[in-house]
Amino acid sequence: MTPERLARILAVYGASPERWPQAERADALALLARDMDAARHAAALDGALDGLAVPHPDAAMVGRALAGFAEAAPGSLLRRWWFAPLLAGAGALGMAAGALLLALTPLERRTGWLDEHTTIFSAAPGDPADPAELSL
Amino acid sequence: MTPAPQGEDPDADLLRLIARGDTVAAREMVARKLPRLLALATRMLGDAAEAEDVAQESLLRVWREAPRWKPGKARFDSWLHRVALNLCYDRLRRSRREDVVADVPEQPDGDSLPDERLLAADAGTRIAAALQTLPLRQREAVVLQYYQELSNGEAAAVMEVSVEALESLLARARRRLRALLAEDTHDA
Repeated sequence: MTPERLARILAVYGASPERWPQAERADALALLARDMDAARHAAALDGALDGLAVPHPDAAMVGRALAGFAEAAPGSLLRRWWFAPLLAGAGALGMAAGALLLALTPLERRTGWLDEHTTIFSAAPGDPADPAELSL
Repeated sequence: MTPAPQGEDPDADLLRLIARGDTVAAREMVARKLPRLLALATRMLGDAAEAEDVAQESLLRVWREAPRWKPGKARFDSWLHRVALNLCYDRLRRSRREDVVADVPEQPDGDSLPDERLLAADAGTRIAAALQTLPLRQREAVVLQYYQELSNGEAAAVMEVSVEALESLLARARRRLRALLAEDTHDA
């Protein structure tokens, strides 16, 4: 470990040793004890970077993600070419298609909000009626 | 991307279950990845709605890819990072906010970099705006190494560059961010 390499590590990875290359960490810390100015310089930028907050997914967002899985899951009736037109059908035919979907979907593949009383027209995950099912 | 050592991909078991349609596994995958995908896209794009679009589309790719995923290829998390970044680049191209070249020549520190977005009072807003002014590859390097906390090897693998090239991008990015924030402080 040289002062030049330590300066490079600080310039590239910042002041937190956890972010330094693991193989160089111990030697860099030993040398750093003798030169704190560069570390302070890097730490100032690290502090600014840490000020950037990002949103956390809410229940609605999680619900949308899981709805995508329900549609894409292997064996999902929603993916069979002959089923989509039935779902789009109005009246009794559409209702029958919804009941068929539920009946033929194995229990372990159902999302948490489906039970034997649900039809294809029930509220989906993430809708205000079902937020508790999807908290992380 | 570099191949993953056998038996060391922490997402492999979940992927096998997801491939069989296991909703509990899917819920766990969403819990593991959605926050990180959203964070990555938010920092790359600077737009909450577009960031969610990227995160959701990335997960759709997971559901579709799970039946085909073969252990021993690149780590799944590295692949997912690359998917999300490519989706970010697609959106940036559409909005014409990216630089056409992969990296632009760095301006000497003596030149001014006027940007009225940096005059915002909130520190978080200032750093968000500063991040958006970085050339895309520099921004990607900072997001992967600093915010996603990938190791230098993992970040370099996602970016498909050497560790030395990654360090060069990070050094230039951090130097530019310091200059932007210092200028903002002087103007305040």
